[in-house]
Amino acid sequence: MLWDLIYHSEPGRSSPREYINGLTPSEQVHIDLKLDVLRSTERQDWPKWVSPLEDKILELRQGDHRILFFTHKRTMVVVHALRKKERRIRERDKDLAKRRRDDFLARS
Amino acid sequence: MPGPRYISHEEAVLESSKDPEYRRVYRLLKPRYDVVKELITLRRRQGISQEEFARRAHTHQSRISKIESADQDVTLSTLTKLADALDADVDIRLIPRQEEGFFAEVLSLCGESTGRTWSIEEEPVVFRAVEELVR
Repeated sequence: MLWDLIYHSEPGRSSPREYINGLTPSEQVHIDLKLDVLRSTERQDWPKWVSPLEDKILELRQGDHRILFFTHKRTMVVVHALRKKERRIRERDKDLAKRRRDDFLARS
Repeated sequence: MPGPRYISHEEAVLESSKDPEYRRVYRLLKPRYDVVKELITLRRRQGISQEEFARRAHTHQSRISKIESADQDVTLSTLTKLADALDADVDIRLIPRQEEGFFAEVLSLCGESTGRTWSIEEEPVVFRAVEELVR
């Protein structure tokens, strides 16, 4: 059964989906189809292009781009998208993802 | 100050699908990811690990991992071998693209059941919904 997949969006700030929409069609489609694979297959083992980041935030990789998401019940929530210039994802990007995750959980 | 809101993937893909180049690339890449979904779903349904799957298919777990990650295109002979390891058959279909005929009909049916008009740009969303229904 397909999981719900939603993107965080807040007024005045660029949303992860806007970031994805700004990529080339090929990158967009790869990301969309990868997200589709994740939401349609009951997984315990993540594919090679997904890694746990920390605090149950997961990272999907597509070239230089990173999509940060978490799962809650049968919903995947994309909370951040960024271009990773350094080897590690910056703390402030992780913090932003966690803050948005906590906000979602507080409201649900 | 208004709080965050959440956009569904369907809405998002609908927006992206307005770009003909997105639709073209989507059509090219979708079969590769469909294969991945089929293999993972069937393997998991049978409750076997990638290692066991690899053993049955006379290959290495790392190869299965690569295939399930859509890292590489799978040849037809490899797909047949993998299907055999899962005690399954491969069913190949080439569906003529008939946007003005068949697809218009599908969109019309969608319109009837949802009470709104669907456009050709919404093809990926409709395909996904139909896939989910028949799964």
